Amino acid sequence: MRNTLKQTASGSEYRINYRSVIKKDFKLNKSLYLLMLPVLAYYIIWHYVPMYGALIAFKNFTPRLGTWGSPWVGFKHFIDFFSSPSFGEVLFNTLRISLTTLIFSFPMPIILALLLNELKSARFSKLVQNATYLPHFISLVVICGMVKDFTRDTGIVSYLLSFFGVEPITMLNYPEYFVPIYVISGIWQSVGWESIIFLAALTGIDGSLYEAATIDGAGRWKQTWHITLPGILPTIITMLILRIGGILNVGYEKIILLYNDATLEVADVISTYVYRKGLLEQSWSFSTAVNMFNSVINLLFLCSANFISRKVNDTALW
Amino acid sequence: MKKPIKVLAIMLSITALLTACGGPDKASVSNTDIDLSSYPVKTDETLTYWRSLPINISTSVDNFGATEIAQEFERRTGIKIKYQHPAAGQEKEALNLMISANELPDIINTHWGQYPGGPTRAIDEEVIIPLDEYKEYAPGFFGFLEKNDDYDKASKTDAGDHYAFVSIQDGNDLLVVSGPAVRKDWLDELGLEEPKSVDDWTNMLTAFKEKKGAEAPMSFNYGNICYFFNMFEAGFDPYKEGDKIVYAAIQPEFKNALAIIRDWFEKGLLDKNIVSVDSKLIDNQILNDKTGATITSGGGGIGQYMKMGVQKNPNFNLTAVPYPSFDGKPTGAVPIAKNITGVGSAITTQAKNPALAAKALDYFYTEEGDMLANFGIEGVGHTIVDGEPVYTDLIMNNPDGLTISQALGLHMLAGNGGPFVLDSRYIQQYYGLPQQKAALKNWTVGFEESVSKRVPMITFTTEENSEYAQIMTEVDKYRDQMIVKFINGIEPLENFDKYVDTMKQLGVDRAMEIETAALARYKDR
Repeated sequence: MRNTLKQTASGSEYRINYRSVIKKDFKLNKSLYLLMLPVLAYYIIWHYVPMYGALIAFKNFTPRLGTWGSPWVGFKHFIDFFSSPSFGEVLFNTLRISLTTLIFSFPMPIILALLLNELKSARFSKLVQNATYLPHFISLVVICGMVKDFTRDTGIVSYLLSFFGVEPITMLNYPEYFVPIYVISGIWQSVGWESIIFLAALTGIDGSLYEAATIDGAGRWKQTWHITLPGILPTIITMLILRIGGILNVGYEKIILLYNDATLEVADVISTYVYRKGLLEQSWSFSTAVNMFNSVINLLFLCSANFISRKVNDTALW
Repeated sequence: MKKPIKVLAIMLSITALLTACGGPDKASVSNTDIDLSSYPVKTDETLTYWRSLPINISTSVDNFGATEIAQEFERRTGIKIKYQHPAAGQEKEALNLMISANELPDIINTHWGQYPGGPTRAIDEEVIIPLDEYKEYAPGFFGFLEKNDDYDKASKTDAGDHYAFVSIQDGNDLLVVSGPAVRKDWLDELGLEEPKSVDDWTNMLTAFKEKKGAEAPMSFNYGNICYFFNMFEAGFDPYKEGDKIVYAAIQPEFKNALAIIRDWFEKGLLDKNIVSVDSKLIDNQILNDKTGATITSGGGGIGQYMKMGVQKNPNFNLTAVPYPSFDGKPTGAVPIAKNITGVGSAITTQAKNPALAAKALDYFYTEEGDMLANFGIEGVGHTIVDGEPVYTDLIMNNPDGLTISQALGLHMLAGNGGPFVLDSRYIQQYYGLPQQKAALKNWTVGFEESVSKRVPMITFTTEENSEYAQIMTEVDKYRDQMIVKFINGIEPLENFDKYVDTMKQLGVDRAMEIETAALARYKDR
């Protein structure tokens, strides 16, 4: 931190300002800075130091020679990836799963939060909240086992659908059902948990606004539309930008737990590809290159989402 | 962020940091003062030994060191060993992480044939050492190899390096592990013969469906799909044809097999969700009379089903039957394991005293150690009857209710890896039931021809391997995807030629060229 200050300083009057401001702030909030330390250490140790290891994307890494000693190969691994038959497929699958998830599962916690907000009975509201949080705390392995059993031809989902004349089938054996099952089970698992932040944002809205609106004759719907939603809009935008920044991040765990040979064509995504290449085949450099590509794309998405948001409605991360 | 990569990156950087701080500590190499000429060895050194803990042992103890066999080994050789085990199901990942972090134990036991790049790469990247340097400390192992040229060829790299003390399956009976099995009691009830041709099979399955009400007349754990293709004269993975290696899944036999499978699937003779049948589901189907024919292993499979099946229904009888014959000839596609698969214990480059490690690993290849490994301690694991070792009741009828394989796991190496020379007399006793004995007889019909198609333990160079792996990842993935489509009819079988074309575009021919070249080198060893 001192380094950056020195650099920006370079003889200008800001130097004194910056320094004194920080000094003052430090004196005032000593304990807060102390609290921040572990988090700072976390980021340095687990997020910045490992970046050194990303070097191996441009090398032919072997453990014997180590990160620095392995021979440079330039962009070979990137070219190999772009020209491999899997490239198009995994990229497309990743985008499909990710966008579907974004479109269908992003609004859900917001809607849940709005609905909970309208509940009169505090006890009922607590009950609903607890019930919707619960799946979040169940291990993914268990969740996926349940999903598999539920969607089997003898499972509860097929049974319920059979009342509507749908023939019972084992859905996870059909590529067309994979993405919907993935997304819906994802919503089921995370909707309660993700609604917390929106509930918190809701409590920040000034109650007098509602009183004023009622006096003006606005109904429930109008109040939601004109007061509640604008009130939590900054939170929504922030969450959206963060989600877009992770657009290529589809975790491999759930996919691996759910897919089989029949659904491979829609289910194979970048992360499962990296997993197979890196950890199972020991193509360390190659999988690092793929992952680095993934991160670069994510960063681009994050920056552009942030840029657009700042231009359009003045809410942005930076 | 992808977690494994993150972990990997972290491990890498930590290693880098450690190296920067003066390098890994170099252990003393001066151990020449230990007398290694005979057992027991007098030493205070403890070796570290990384190996997976098979489930038949992990149900009783959580470290291999706590087993009878490990303790007896220490008593007889005087060498102390600390065993390290990866989490079950994560052996591969654990091994790769350990190697990338460059923190190796003295000895690693794994499947070196499945190690990415094979044993050649492991030696090239200085993970393990060639054993030849320490030949004098391993007279048992090297002595055994000298007597058998085929075994010797299969246990070294093209460069002639012996990479590990390998497990050797010494005998044909040991090479046929899984195959078809049917409900003999149903056959008798329906007045049917044991099926021979594919038509017999079709009739039998139809009868199971119509007369026995079997929901899924034939069903099996989808992981056994390769054996299913073997039932119809087709291979699944590359096989040898003369001096060449060809990819089974693009051959005409494969198409014929697909046609039969498709036909059965359409007629409802196979489980309609065959692709997602796992071990849990198949157990349920077999024990609840939903399935009359399956593919399973002779030991754990048939043995377990018989044990549990007869409790519910005294007539329950799941028996191994031969692979179907074509035009009256036995099939030449019986899946046959290699005598040496590449499973074995290698000494790492970080071993503090490689000679001592060699001496330790050699024990089970000596005459005395061989008996201990196969049959346990005399009077405890076996008794000698008419000059032959016979497992005691402690193993075959365990008083504590352990299954045979659990009891074996605690008292000897047989049945859980090794490394040692596995004896046929083990399987003949382990397969105690007549239904299992039938497996030894029936699954070996067509053995000779199948052996000639078996690909030996070839090894690739590092360059060859990266090209081969690149191609085969795509090829095998495409095969697995398309098999499902052909079976459930999404893709009509007329498109098989298109499928073959795509395979060629993916480079399957080039991959087979690489294998064929490796085979030629194997012959010249």
